[in-house]
This record gives sequence, structure tokens and C-alpha cells, in this order.
Amino acid sequence: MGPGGARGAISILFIGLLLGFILSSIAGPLVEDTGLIGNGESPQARTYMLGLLDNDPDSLAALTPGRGIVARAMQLQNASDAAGTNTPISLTYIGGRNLSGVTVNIYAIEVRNSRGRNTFFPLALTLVGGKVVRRE
Amino acid sequence: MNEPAVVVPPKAEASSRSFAPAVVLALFVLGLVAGVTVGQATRVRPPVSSYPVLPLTSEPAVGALVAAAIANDDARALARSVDGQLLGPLGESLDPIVTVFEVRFVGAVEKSGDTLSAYVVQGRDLQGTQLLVGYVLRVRGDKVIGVN
Repeated sequence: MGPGGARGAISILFIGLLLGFILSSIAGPLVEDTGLIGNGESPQARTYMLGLLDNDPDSLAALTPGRGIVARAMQLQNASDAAGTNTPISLTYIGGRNLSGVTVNIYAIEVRNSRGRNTFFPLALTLVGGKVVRRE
Repeated sequence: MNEPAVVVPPKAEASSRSFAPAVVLALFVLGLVAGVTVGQATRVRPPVSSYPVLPLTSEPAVGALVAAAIANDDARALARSVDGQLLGPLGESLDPIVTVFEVRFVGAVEKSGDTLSAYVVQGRDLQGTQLLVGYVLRVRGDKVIGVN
């Protein structure tokens, strides 16, 4: 194989690589949504949940879209009021779905309150563009 | 009168021509596989959680009934499956969806006799915008005792 052949081979390899990378980026979330691979959990949703359990207002603020200064101050106050009142016991990602850039991820949380009582409750996060726009 | 020149390709060249499409295909597939591998390897993964994870369980039967009632727009079946006091919270969970296309069970976890059964609803609001919302039923025995 001459230099021209080697160049051609590298070009074909590169085209395949590029196409594979694009295919993986585009089809990955779609395939994940079918449940064949992965579980559809968004990294931002997990970060938000960990911020919530670790009482980290900065993580929560970074994942909440365009909130005013008063809302952020209230969040900081709530975080300092809540510090030490609840001890997280478990965090379970139940499942979720992604459609046209909107992601719904649902978690189950188990916490022990200051009186030693355990509570077990769900939390559904809706994310758009990597930000949590709804929490219930 | 001159004889027309007949060009006979050397044997090696003829062999490389017949082999070329297979080589091209192999190189392309190799590149494709490498691309998919690189794509998967460079994807952002969720951060590692230090908290324990509960095992997932199967869907409670009453959860499937509620999901079918919502998906089929069957208010009578929904009224039979869910206590009146819980219909309000269920409505709030589905808000602002007014037309439901699909209700998908995404998973359930059980703790101390309570099962949290989670669903994602695809539908559209009054303005026609397509939306996704989630709701979770708290099931004890075969009864829905809470909605989030």
C-alpha cells in the first residue's frame, strides 16, 4: 500500500470514527429511553439530589435556572435552618424518561429526623437543558 | 496495420482491486466501533452517591390499574382505583397535562410495607405543548395511600 492508499485508509477510519461518535451522542439517550441500555438517570439530577441530601445550597443554586437574589437568600436560610435536622439514610433512583430535551427523573429518599423517626418519600425532578425546573 | 494494444493488469493489482471493498468496509466498521466506544467513554456520568440504594421491585397491580385509567382517559376506573382525597394530589401531579398520550411505569421500591411506584406521563397542555411529568403512588397492600 502506497502513501495514497494509507491516506485513504486513514480517511475511511476517521469518517467511521466521527460517524460512530455522532451516532453514539445522538442515539445514546434514545436507546437509553427504551430501557435496553442504561437507566436514563441524568448526571445533573443526581448532583441535585446529592446537594439536597448533603444540604449544599450552592449545588442546588447551580442547577436551578435564573433565580433572583431573594430566592437564593431564602434557599441559603432554609439550608442553614435544616442543617443537622435530617440524616439521609438512602437514595434510590427509581427511574425516568427523556423526551425532546425534557428529562423526568424520580428518586426515593429515606431520612431520619431529629426525633429519630424514619421517613420514606419520593421526589420527581423535571429537568430542561440540565436545570431542575420542577421538583415535587 | 497496428494491432490494438491489450493491457493486461498485473496479477497483484487485480487482486488488490477485488479486495478493496472488503478493506474499506472493515476500516469503516472499525472506525464506527471506535467512535461509539469513544462516545460512550466520554459521556458525563452521574456522580457517585455515598448513600445506600434500595432494590427495585415490581409494579403493584393497583398502580397498573391507575396508569391504565389515566392512559385510557377512563375517569370511572380512576375513581374506583383511587380514594377521593387522593385525586386532588394526583391532578396536581399531572398538571399542566390535559391530554395524555402515554403513561409509562419506570420503577418501584419497597420499604417497610410501603411501595413507591413511579410513572412518567407524556401528554400535552392546553396550549398544545408536549410535556413529560412524573407521579408516584404510595401503595400499601393493594391500596393507594398516597400520591406525589
